[in-house]
Amino acid sequence: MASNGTENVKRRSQLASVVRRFMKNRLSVLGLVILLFLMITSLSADLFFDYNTQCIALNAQETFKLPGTPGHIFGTDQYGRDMFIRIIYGGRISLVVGFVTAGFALFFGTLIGATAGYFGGRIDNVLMRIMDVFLAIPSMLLAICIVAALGGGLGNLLLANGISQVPRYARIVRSSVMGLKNAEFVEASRCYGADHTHIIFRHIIPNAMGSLIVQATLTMASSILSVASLSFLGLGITPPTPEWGSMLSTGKEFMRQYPHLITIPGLAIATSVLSFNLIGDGLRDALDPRLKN
Amino acid sequence: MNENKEKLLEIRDLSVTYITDDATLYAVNGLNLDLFRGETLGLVGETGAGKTTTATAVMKLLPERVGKITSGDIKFDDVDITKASEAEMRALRGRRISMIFQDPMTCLNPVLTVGDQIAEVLETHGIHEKEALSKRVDELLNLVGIPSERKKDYPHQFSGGMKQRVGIAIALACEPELILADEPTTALDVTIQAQVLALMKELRDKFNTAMLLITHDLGVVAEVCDSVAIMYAGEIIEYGSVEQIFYNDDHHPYTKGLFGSIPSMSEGQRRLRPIDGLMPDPSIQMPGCPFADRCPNRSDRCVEEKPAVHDMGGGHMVKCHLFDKKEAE
Repeated sequence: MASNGTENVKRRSQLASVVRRFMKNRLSVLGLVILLFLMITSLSADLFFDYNTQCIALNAQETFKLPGTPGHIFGTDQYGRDMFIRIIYGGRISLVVGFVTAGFALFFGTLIGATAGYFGGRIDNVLMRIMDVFLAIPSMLLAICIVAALGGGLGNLLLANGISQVPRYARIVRSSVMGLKNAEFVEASRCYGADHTHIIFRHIIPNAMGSLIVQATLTMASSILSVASLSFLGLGITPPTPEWGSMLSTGKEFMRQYPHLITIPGLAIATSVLSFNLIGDGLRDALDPRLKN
Repeated sequence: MNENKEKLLEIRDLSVTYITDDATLYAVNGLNLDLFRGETLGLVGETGAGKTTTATAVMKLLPERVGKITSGDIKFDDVDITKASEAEMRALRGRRISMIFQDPMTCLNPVLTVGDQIAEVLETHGIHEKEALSKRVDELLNLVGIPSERKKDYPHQFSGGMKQRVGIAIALACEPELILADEPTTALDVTIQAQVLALMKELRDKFNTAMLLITHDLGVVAEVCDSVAIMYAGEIIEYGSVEQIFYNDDHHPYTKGLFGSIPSMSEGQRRLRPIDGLMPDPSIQMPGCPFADRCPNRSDRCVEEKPAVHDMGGGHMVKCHLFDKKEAE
């Protein structure tokens, strides 16, 4: 029981107070509900739908059905594919992109930023100047370059997005590490014989985590947007894979006659981005150490 | 009295400077200090006298690239600290030399439970089994008078006095031979101060730990210490047992000034007599006595020539020209 038990209790109690504060913010709770809804529907989609038989109808009469048509809540597109099912399946890519990009940027950004901030001097200079180079290139342009060089596909898209986000995290982590490394509890830890790795991972990073989590939710939102944009430009996920951005792109040809082909994927993008942003706002307040107790 | 005891810490001719872009600050100038096993030495002096710098030098944690030991030796038992490598120092810190900090509010990590923070020191120095760790943490918390159930609480859930108890528990975790206590009671109110001091005394006696108590509170010194070193501008200007410092008549003028600036219970109400002037600028190296500018007994010699250390008998040392003649007699 001993230490494991302690560990669990600790997690729970810390989480409990954050959750309590988060729940007070109704808008963020709404964001969380939307996000959970999106996650559950897109992850469990295979249980309810069979994409190949239910979505794809090789029947010219089924094309361009308007939303509300019996059997097709969101209507169908130019090939007669059910929009509702495509939106749900498209959500998978958006969510994966959001989480993986944020995770990638969080991991490498923290590593680079913490190293630079903690050791300072030449290491700091070299690492941060490299980050500055990346930061100087507009992130969308950088992502386009990487995709253009390495080719499309989900993997490269994630890489492109992740790399363009790393410098932001490195900056945030570096600045908070520079403040924290002079904190008295860090000095105390050195006086009790701790080495640098221990101090960085056990004392400094946990204290810098709050602002990072907030930034991560915002990154999720922006990377959903940028993947949608890349796909819209034909550089990201290519048709026929259902993806919100590419649905928007193919739908634009028919927008005069059938505006639902672009409004529905557009709304899907907007809703998911909004939900991440609302959650981010709520987390920022909930994780603020000044509001502790 | 001290001769038959074993020397634990020996500082010889220690000088520390801080080099910044604008100036070189001479924080400690030729300091000599001995500390024996089980002894508590009070290091007294006003702010900026170099007390904390001395402790930091013993830990070898002077700020990198800025603080430097320019001369002298620090010997801890069989270890030569001035020559020890970083790895050797890490094995020493927390294990054989530990530290209690001034401000318990800031020296604990706000995102870790106090139990984890105590366990951390133990883990660093070789206890890894969860059972043993948790048992030792309970033991330590009980030792400092905190119920062991509270190990799952975070620092912000404790009062200042309780946090300082946690700090003491962390310092004592590995039963060190030497504790450096840097103004451990300054941030606490008077009643809590008394409790914490009593606790420190009790634990020191229990483990026979030597302690270097840094303070500017002479009351604390009288309460806890065996011997006292008065520090001024990076030098020890007077050293002696508590009895010698508090009851002997011959003192360094600065020590007299210090006692003159605290209220007395016995002598009725009169105005306190603060020492005029300020500490000398640490960026200037003085040829003479650093206290000369403020000294009521100053002579021309004081400004020009460093005073020698005079033994006033029984190990009571005073560094002042005033006593040149007395010793000769």
